[in-house]
Amino acid sequence: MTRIKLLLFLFFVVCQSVLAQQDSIALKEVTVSDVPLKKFSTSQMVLQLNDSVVAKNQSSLTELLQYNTPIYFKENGLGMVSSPAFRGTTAQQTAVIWNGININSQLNGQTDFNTIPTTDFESVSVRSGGGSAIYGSSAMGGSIHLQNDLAFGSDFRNELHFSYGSFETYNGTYKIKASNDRFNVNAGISRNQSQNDYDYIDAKTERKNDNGQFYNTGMHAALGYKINGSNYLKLYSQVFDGERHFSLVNPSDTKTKYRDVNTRNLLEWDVLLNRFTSKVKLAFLSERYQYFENLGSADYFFGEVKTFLAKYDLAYHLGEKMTVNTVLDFTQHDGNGSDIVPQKRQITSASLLFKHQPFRLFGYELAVRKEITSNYESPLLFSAGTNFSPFRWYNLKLNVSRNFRIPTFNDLYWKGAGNPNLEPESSYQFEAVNEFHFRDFRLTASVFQMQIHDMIRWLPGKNGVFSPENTNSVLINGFEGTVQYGRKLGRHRINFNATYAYTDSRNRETNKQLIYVPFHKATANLGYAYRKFSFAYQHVFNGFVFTQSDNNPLKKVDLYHVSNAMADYDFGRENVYRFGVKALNLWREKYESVANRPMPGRYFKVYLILNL
Amino acid sequence: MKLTKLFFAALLGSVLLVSCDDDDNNAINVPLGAYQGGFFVLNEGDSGAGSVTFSTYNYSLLKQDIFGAENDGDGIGGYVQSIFYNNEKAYIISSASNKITVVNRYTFKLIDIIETGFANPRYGVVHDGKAYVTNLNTFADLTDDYLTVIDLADNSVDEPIPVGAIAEKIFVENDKLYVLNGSYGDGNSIKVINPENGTVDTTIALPQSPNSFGIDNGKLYVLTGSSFFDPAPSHIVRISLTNNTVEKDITMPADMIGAQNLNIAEGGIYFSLGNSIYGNAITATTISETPLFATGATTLYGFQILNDAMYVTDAKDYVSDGALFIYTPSGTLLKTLTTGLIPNSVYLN
Repeated sequence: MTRIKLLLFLFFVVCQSVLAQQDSIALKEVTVSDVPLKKFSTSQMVLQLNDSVVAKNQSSLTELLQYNTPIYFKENGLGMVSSPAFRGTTAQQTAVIWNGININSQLNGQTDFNTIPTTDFESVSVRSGGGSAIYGSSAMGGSIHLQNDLAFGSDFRNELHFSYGSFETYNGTYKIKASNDRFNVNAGISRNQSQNDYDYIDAKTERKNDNGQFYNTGMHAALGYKINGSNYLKLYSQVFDGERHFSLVNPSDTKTKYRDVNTRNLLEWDVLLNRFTSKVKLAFLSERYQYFENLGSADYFFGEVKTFLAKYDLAYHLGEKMTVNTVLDFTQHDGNGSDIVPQKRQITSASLLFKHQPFRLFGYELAVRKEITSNYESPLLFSAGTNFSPFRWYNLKLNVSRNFRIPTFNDLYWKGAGNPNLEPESSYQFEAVNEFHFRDFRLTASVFQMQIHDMIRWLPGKNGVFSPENTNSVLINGFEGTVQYGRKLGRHRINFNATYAYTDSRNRETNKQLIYVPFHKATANLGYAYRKFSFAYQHVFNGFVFTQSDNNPLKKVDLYHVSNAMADYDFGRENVYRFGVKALNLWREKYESVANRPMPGRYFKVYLILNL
Repeated sequence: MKLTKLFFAALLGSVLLVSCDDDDNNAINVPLGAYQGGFFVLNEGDSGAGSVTFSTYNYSLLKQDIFGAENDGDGIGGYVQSIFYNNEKAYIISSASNKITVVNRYTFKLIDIIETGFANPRYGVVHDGKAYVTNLNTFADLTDDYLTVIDLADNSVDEPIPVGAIAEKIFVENDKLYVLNGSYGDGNSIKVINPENGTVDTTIALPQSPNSFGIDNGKLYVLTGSSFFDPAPSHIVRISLTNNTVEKDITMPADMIGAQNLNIAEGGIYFSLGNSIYGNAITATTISETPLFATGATTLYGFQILNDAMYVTDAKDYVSDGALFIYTPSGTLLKTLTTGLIPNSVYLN
C-alpha cells in the first residue's frame, strides 16, 4: 500500500507541474477500459448513471442504485453488509465490473455494495441481463460497471467535497483531473466515517443502533499516456481500506467487527491501427477480510485472495459495419485463510465476439466464451442478440444468453466442509427490450425469463456439517419499465426518471418465491433547477419480501416507501462552489430492509463542493 | 462471516435435559397457567430471534411464539439454545444474544432477564440454589470457555468458573458438575468440577468429541464423534460415575460417522444418524448398522425420548418453519406438528 501511496504522490506532483502551464480547452478524447459495455451491448439494456446522478447519491453504491435502478438491495441496517438481487437472482449472480475487470469476491462470490465508494468513479452503468460471455462469472442477473474515464486534451481541475450529517457522519473527497494531449491523471482520495448510532424510531423501549460505526478510506488513480497516435498506456489503481462494526440485533449480542482491504491495479497497453485494435491488460487484485468475532478478544478469522490476470484483446474491423473481437484471458487466484485450505486456481478462457450492423435499422451481435480450468466443468457461454429500429422513435432489442456463476473459494475449499466437486450455477436467459423516444421522453419496457440450474446451496450433510451442493433450479419471469424525461425552458430545467420492476422468482421444486426477492420495486426521481438553485426529490417503493423459503405469510419484511429531498445552491464567480442540504427518509418511515434490523428515521446531511 | 455463522448454526442441537423430570410426581389439581399439561419446542431461530412453540399433550392446542404472545411481542434473543427449569421458573438461554430470559413456566410471563456474565451461553443446570451455565466464549479459542454461576435467589451473577476446555453440555451427579468438552468435533474429554471451589477434580479422557450423553444405574453413556476434518465412526463410551473411569469403549461400524443425540430408555441405547433412529440393548457390545426406523424428517436436528415417546425435530432447509415428529418407541408415527424456525429440543411441562 505504501508503494501505491508513493506512486500517487509522484503522479500528483509531477503531472501537476507539467500540466499547470496549459489552460486552453481542447477537444476531448475520452477513452475507457470497459469497451464491450458500449460496443457489445447493443442488444441489451444499459442504464448509465452519470456523475451528476452519482454526486446526488454520495455515500454508497447501495444508495445510488437503490434510488435509481430496479435492483433490490438487502441491507443489514444502514451502512452494513448490502447485497443485491438483480432480476430476482442471488447476490452472487450480479457481477461488479471495475474498468472492465470482474471484482466480485473470490471468497464469497459477491460484492458488498457498501464497500464501494461511488466518488471514485466518473460513471456507473447498469447492464441488465446475461453477460457471462463477455464478463465471466456472476453476470447472470446483470452487471454493474464502475468506470474511470481518461480524457486527453488540456484540462486541470480540482474538486473538494465535504459533507457532514446526522449520527456524526463525515465524508471528505478530493479529486484531481489533469491532462494535456499526451498525459492524463485522474485521481482522488475519499474518507467516509460515521458513528451510525441512529435511534430506532417508535421502538417500544428507547434504543439506538448499537455498534454500527464504520470508517473507510478509498484512493483511486487513473493514468494515461499517449505514446503516439496509435499507442496508449493506461494504469488504473484503487485501494479500499474499511472497518465496520456490525450493529447488534439484541443489545446483549456479542460485539463484532469486520475489516476489508482491497487493492486493484490494471495496466493496459492499447495499439490502434487501421483495422486492428490490440489491447494487452495485466491486472493484480487483492482482497482480504478480517472478522473479529468478539471485540473483547484480539482473535480474528481471515481470508485473502490474490488475483493475477493477463488478457489479450484483439479487434478486427471489417469496414465500419463489422467487428470481430477475440479475447484470451488467463487468471490465477491464490487464496488463503483461517477457514479455507490454501489453494491456487487457474482459469484460461477464450472468447469470440462478433458484431454486424448491415443496415442502419438492423444489427446483430454474438459472443461465445469457453473457460478451461481443472476446478469445474465450464459450460459454453454465449450471448446472441439483435437490435431493430423500424422507426426513429422505436427500437427493439432481443437477446438470448447462457451465463454462469463459478463456485467460490469458500464453496470449494472451506475446511472440512467445502465441496471440490461442485459445478457452476448456470442459466439461460431471454429478454426483449422495447425502447421508445418521444421528444423529451425516453421509455423502456422489458420482459425477461431466466432459468437457473444447479444453484449452489449450503446444506447439512452427514455429521451435521453444512456443505455446499448443486441443488435447486429457479425460474424467473419479470418485467422492467423505465421512464426518463428532461426539459429545459429558459432558465428552468426539469428532469424526471422512474423505474418499476416486477419479479417472480421461484424455486421450481417448491414453486415458492425466493427469500428476499420482492415482487415489486419502484423508484422515482424528480429534479428541478432554476438559475443557481436546484432541488431534487427521490422515492423508493419496495414491496414486501418473504424471509422464509416456505413463504410463511407471517415471516416477511413489510413493504416500505422512503423519500429523500435535497436542495443546493451554486455560488462563486469564476469557479462553481455548491452548498447543499439533504433530508433522508423525509417522511420518517419506520422500515427494515432485513428482518430485525431497523433503518433510521429522518436524518440530514449538509454538503459543500468546491471546484478549484 | 455469514459462513462462519452458518457453520455454527449448523450444529446438531441439544438434547438431554437434566433437571426437568421431578415435577411430574406432584399431584397438581389447580391449573397453574395456560401452558401446563403440554410441552415446549424450542426453536433456535436465526441470529436475531428464536422462539418457543407450545402444544398440549393431546395436541388439541398448538401455539407458536408463546413468549411473544404473552409478553407484548417481545423476543427471547437469537440462536436460542436450551431451557432449564428451576421450580416454577424456566430459564431460556440465547447464545447469540448472551442472555437468559426467565419466565414463569406455566404462564410464560417474563420474570427477569439476565444479561451479564455470558459469552455464547449453551446449557444450564441447577444445583443447590445456583445455576451453572456453560459458555463457549470465543470460537477461535477452545480453552477460554467457562461456567456462569447464577444465584437463583435473586438471579445475580457470581464469579465465573473457568473450565480450561470446551464447555458444552452439563449435568450434576454426586454433587459434582460434569461438563462435556465437545463441540463440533473439537475437544475430547469431560471435566468433573467441584462447584464449591470451582476446581477441576478429574478430567475423563475420551476417544473423540462428546456430543450427547445418558445416565442409567450409576453409569454414564457418552456418544462421541470424530473431527470434521478426519471423519471416523462414532463411539459409545461407558463411564462409571462412582470412580469416573472409562469401563467400555464401543466403536461403531465403519459407515456410522456422525451419530448424534444419545438417549437411554427402557434398557436401550438410542441415537440418531442422518434422518434415522438406531437402537441397541444397553448391554450390547457392538452397535447394529440397521436403523430401527427412518424418520420423516428432512433434516433431523434433535431427538429425545421423553415419557416413552420419541420426539424428533426437523430443521428442514433452515429457512422454513420446522416440524416435530412424535413416534412410539417402535417407530409408529403418532403426530406431526409445525414448529418455528430450526426446532432443536422439547421440554415437557
